[in-house]
Amino acid sequence: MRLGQLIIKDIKNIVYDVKSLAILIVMPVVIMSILGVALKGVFGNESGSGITSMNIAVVKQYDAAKEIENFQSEAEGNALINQGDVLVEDINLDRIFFEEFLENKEIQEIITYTVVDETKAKELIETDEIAAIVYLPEGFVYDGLVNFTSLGRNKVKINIVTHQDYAFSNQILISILEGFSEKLNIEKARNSAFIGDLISKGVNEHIGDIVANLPENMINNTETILEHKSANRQKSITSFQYYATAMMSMFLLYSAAFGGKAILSEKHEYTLARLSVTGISIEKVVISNFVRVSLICILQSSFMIIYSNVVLGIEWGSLITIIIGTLIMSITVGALAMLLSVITLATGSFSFASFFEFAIIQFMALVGGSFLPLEVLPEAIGNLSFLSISGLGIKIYTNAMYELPLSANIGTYTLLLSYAVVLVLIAFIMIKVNGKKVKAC
Amino acid sequence: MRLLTVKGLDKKFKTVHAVKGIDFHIEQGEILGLLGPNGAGKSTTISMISTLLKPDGGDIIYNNESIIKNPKAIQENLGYVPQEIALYPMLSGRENLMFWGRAYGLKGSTLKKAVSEVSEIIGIDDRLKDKVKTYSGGMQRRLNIGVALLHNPELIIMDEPTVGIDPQSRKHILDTVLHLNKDKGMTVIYTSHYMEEVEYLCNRICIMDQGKIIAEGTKDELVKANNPKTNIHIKIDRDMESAIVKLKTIESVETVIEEEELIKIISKQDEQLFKNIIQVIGELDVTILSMDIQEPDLESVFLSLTGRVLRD
Repeated sequence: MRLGQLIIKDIKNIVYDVKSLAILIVMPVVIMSILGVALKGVFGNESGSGITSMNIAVVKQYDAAKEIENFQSEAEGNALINQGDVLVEDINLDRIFFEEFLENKEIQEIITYTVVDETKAKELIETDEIAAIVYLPEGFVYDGLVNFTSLGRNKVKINIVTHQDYAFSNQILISILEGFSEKLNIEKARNSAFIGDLISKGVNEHIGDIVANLPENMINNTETILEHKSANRQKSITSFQYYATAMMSMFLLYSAAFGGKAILSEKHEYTLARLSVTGISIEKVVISNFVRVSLICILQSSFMIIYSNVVLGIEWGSLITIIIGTLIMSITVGALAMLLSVITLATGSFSFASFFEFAIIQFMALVGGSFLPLEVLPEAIGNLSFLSISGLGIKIYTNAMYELPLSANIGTYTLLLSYAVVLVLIAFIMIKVNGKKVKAC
Repeated sequence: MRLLTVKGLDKKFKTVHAVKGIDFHIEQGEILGLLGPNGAGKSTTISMISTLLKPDGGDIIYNNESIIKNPKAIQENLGYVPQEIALYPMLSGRENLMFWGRAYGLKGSTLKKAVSEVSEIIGIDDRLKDKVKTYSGGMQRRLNIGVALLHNPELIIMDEPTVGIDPQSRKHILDTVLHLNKDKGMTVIYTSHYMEEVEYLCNRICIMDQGKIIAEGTKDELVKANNPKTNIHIKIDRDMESAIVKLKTIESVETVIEEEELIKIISKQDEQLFKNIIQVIGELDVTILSMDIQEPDLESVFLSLTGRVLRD
């Protein structure tokens, strides 16, 4: 009998079985939708809670002492400064940013920073040692002082460059810096009102002149701005996108569990014995199961990608990366199902497949980042992510979302295919070694 | 012509010695019955003949070739009907027949013709489009047999094919087996623990018990050789005690008892027995209301051989 007929039969068996099909395809989509909606809120409101520290680099593009000196020389007539109502040190953004903000106990629990030059910062982000670079621009201190001591609204622009693999941490970092920026703007608004009040009450008769004499660029209509870019990348991804890849990669593993039980089920239904009597070898049966599971994975992935794109509006990015990634993931999951089915048949019990379903999938999901992104997990767990097929899937799909070139995934593709080859080889060796146990009867 | 020979076949499962060095053979065109209680070793024996199990000892020769060394020698010519329903319940009857036909190497018009013929033989042609899971137990059993007939095999092995079905389906199956044997010349190995099925179908019978063949031959040969008893139940209108005394004087009678208003007689085989009973009772002033004669059968042969009833 041609292998093709066996595969067609296996596919018909699953396609006609509406219940199994629903569990394998509809359930992940439902869970993805529920999680997506739920997490959308969570990510907006719970930045930092229960999250382990992230490393960032801060690049100072200004000379604080020089900018203070400049400000002081230009603002000699500033009544607030001269009369001691406002101390320069109190409104020095350099001090506020580092001492009051980054050294704040609560912030320290989340962010660990190092001040470095730009070259070093780039090196750190390339070597994955930091999650982001925060650039404090030239004029950071000077503009801040102007904004706090006058009606001026000079632009204080903080640039952030984030590492693509730390999407979750960077969401948090951006939220925190947004909070900082907002706080500065409120203070500025309050300060402007205070200065305006002084002017209206004529507390100092010279203040109008001081304000009028301030250089024009000091009273431009801008505020503290936060600008975010991904390091060397065009795009960043949302947590919603991240979890779409995470859920999909995890649910593909359940197909392996399904396939892992299929041949022992066939034995229990006596069709395996009948196949054996017709001369069909056990090797052909397990290969057919491998193809069946791979096809289910392709079906699952396609359905989830299309559904999440059309219904949930998730952008999956580079199509070619997704197609190649899906094919390779499906082959690897098929190979995993093949080995599982041989182990299940050899042991004559569904226990191992169930163990895989309830423990190994959860382990792979954890170390692969399906539950929480790797950067928020302890490093020891994250270091195991290469063992997780779902984790490698997440990497491929998020790279597609970042619209990285295909070459960025070559390593992951190779690793997955290597796993597939190893799993298939082990399965065949087990059939040879266990001969008697891996039988139809 | 001898189609299959089993020589010293032996199989052990851990602590159970399931088949203990048995020998038997089957001629082409025969229906051979393997009769025995559950656990006698029938299914293990036919699993070895079907190449599903490898024996621990002995050999099976099919058409002068050892199937232990070359399983393919029998696989292409064998129709195997397992005791359990071995079908894909989610597929339709036609899809099952098509799939299994392809598994036996049929294709194209040959396959379609075989599916059509077989579905007619097993009487499910009007339900071919329906999923097998919607079939009754009897229909599933018939389809289970049909699958084994698609490639027109030389030898069919049927392992208890009538277990748990209604009398109508059972009759249909038994008639099908006879049709396949008589009209298509197929050789059949039929296992059952229903002795009446084996009596009805088989030319020759091997009685198995505890992994051994304890008797072999035609039904008449087995009955004669094993000297089982004849049971007669008589009901008379009165004077049962006198009748019992008189009946005990008949030489071949071994036991006479009164039970539930019946006189129950157990006797050795004796061609004159019925005549002698009538004569003895006729001497009394009584009327015979009913008489039930149970001729020795395979059940009693088994009882005589093992001291146990077949369906224990």
